[in-house]
Amino acid sequence: MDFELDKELLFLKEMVRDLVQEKVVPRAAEIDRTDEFPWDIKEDLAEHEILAMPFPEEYGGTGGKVLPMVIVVEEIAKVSCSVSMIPGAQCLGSAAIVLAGTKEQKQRFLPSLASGEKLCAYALTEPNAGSDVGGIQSFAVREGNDYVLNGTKRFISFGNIADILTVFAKVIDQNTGEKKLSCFVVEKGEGLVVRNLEHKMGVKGTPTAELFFDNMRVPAEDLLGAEGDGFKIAMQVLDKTRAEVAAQALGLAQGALDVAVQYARDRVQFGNPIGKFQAIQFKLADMEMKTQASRYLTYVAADKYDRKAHDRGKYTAMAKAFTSDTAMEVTTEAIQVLGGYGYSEEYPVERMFRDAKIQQIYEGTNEIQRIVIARSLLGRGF
Amino acid sequence: MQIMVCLKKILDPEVPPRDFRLKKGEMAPATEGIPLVMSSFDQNALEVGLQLREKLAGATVTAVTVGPEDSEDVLRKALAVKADRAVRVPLEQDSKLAGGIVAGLLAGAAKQLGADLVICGRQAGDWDGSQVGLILTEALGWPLVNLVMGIEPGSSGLVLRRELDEGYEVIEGNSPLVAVVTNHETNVLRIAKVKDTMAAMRKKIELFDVVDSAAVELQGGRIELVSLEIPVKEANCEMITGENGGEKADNLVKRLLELKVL
Ligand SMILES: Cc1cc2nc3c(=O)[nH]c(=O)nc-3n(C[C@H](O)[C@H](O)[C@H](O)COP(=O)(O)OP(=O)(O)OC[C@H]3O[C@@H](n4cnc5c(N)ncnc54)[C@H](O)[C@@H]3O)c2cc1C
Repeated sequence: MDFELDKELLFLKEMVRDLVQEKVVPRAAEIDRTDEFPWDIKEDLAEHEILAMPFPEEYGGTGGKVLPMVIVVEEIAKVSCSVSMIPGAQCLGSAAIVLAGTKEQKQRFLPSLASGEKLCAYALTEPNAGSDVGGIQSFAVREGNDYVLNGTKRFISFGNIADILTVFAKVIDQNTGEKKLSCFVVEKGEGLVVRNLEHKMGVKGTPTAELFFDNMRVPAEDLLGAEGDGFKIAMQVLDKTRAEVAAQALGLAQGALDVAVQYARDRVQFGNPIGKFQAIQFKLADMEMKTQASRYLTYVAADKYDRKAHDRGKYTAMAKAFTSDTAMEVTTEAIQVLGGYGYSEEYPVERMFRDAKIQQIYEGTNEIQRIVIARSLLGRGF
Repeated sequence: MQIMVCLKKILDPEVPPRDFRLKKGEMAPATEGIPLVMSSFDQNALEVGLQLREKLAGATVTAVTVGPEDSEDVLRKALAVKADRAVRVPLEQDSKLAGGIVAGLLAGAAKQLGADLVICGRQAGDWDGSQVGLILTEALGWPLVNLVMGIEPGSSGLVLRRELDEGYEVIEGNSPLVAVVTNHETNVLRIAKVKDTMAAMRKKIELFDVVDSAAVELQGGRIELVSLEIPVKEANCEMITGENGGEKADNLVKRLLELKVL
């Protein structure tokens, strides 16, 4: 049994570190301050094939495995969680096509996403349906060769800049009135109005949008899977991408810990570096324990996903909840280690703290993850 | 054209000073916990080689390192930015004083490869020896152009840009020659792409058993390391007094002269 990453992945990690040092380090604080999407960095990520990572090779990707993505996302998130969400969203927005699309659908949509020419987004959440996916109100009605789509989506990461959306809505059978949750690939166009939601607490520079579908016509061939497959597809997507949320959280925890360790060695009070005080030492030790435990859980979850282990969904849920809880704790403690400086924008830990919070909320709140985990123990009836 | 680029793996020179220690009782730096990287001028040399290849149809870049097996990391990095071939010349001994030996082995490798152009960094980022490029040139008996920023194909041969204090100098040369490269904004080593990075791990690294070691004898063991220590920095504060600014300035100058700072 070997718990170390193989050489190929370590080498990939080093390559991403070089890229992050050169392109992201100088921009991380500025992206947070200006809250503007970093188009230049998106180009860099495309050029270096980071945006190609979620996709199989036959569609211009680098293979589509989750573990390498996790390594890359972690490395970027150590410096900028917002930037790590660019490949994150590219994976989340396209996963339904990768998992449930036909060959033709993949051929049509994936190459331009793999090259980074186009961006995509995952549109599940609605004003009245967050955790409760079954409560989705958006609906579609078949008219000739199209579906006509109506409804509102909220909190859609990159919804305003994405060219391609995977949208969940209920198809209403006009004869029976039956509603079947389904998933569509929607290219931006007539019938869609987009509004940017501003003033988030963190992950600044990652636009979050509200989408209004007003009699938007979607060609019938852009339905993914069959009518009624929507719930299954939505859950399959999240089973996969939760590993990447865990990786973002892991990067945040490690990034904050690194800053705290450095600071504890440098900052002198009462004639000693504060790292000499046991109160600080114990904080750092706890932060390290939790971060390392999160790392192994996240890597195992990603590896299980790639090996199609039967319990992969449970593992990605555990990794997501555990690691995002860790990130919240570690970033909070990092601020404490830095004292007043930690609370100031002079150091990155307050940004990391704000960015950590969302990890406990999106792609299924940590309460929902715990429901998933508990059901895997108790059975579906609970 | 066969372009050979010489690469060395060194302790990361960016390591914070407080993490830099010497091995107890040995005249060598402690290596635990310190990353090993490709020497920075060698990165510039590699980039110069890659850029030249892009402008010269049929040219190939071969990355060569001298060292034990773990020095192959720098070759993998070169393969990841698409060097065509990677060659290691095995050498187990600590190479820090063996600039001459390394240069001799590299010269042997250049012959074995049939290289037309050898590019190396100005100096290694660990010991700053600045020896290898020069001795290697001597061993090959080729012309040398040093402090090169970039190389382009010319109408007949190569055009090399050299950095000077005020501007640059352009030199035309014919292969075979050795170019010793310095850093410049135009030769920062490119960053690899994901697929090439993953593929680099699976590529073959050739081992050269350099037998032509005439050059090796040229320089082996001419340098002796007498002592090695980390300089102790002391900071003392002294207040310069005086009635007014002018007098304070005078006193400052006097004191600086006394201290032989001026
Ligand atoms: C920055 C940002 C980006 C986002 N990006 C996307 C995106 O790209 N695509 C997308 O579709 N959505 C996205 N979301 C939406 C996100 O996934 C939802 O906010 C999340 O799923 C929670 O839904 P809600 O906000 O409606 O909260 P609610 O579901 O209303 O939950 C409120 C609280 O009640 C708890 N709760 C709810 N039900 C239960 C239960 N059964 N048992 C116990 N506790 C429960 C929740 O855990 C939570 O604490 C994003 C949100 C944000 C803030």
